[in-house]
Amino acid sequence: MEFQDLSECQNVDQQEIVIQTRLSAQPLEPVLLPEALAAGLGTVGAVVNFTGMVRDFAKTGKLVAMEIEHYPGMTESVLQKMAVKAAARWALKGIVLDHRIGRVEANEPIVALAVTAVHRADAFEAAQWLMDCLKVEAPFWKKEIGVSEANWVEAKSSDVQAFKRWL
Amino acid sequence: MSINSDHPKPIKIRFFARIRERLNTSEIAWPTGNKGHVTVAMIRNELCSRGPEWLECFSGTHQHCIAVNQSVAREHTLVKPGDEVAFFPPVTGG
Repeated sequence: MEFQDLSECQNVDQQEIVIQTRLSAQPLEPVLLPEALAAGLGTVGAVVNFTGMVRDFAKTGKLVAMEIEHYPGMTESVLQKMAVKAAARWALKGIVLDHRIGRVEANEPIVALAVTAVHRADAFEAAQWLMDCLKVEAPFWKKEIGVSEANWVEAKSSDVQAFKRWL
Repeated sequence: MSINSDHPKPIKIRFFARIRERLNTSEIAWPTGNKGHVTVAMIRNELCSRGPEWLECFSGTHQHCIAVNQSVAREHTLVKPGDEVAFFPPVTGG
């Protein structure tokens, strides 16, 4: 896995771009337009939403829940830096990114992302990049809780490849 | 290893996910003694000598990531007293 240092994007100008990244121990309730992004609606021509769900199956059988471990402090910092970097690369109006921590039941959202932009191409690409980046750089670790066993999820090389195409 | 008379702060070493479970610990304090700056590689080598499960986690056969003070680090990254070093498996969020 290529775990990159995102520290160079700390000083990117965030003028007029709303960025909100949050960790939540409570169930996510994704909405089409998060409140934080509603203020800039006048110039927004595109809203792209992505919601990642916890499936109810795993390689080893039925999945009851997912336990999400994270690195307090670093996880928040990486999510924020990712968002700032996306805002520097694409012409965006706003990013709201929420990720669950703790136990997430099957069929519940694990991540919710909303990206607004003047044009759809920027919103689409930024949303995809943010998820590809999150998959390989944000310090979260998933543990699959089955009926009778629990297993750590292995990192996938396909996620690394998905992110590399943006480099 | 003992802390010298100047009582330099120990290095905090944190473990996450599979590594934390395998070692049955989430955090240890690593006394720096008179060494001053050390590298991540020096810390990793010392951890390997602590027992079979430590060797298993840090011998290099299992992939792990490193952070120093919550920023991505490498084997040659310098670590000073009071710093926080973390070892964790490749991430699997989202």
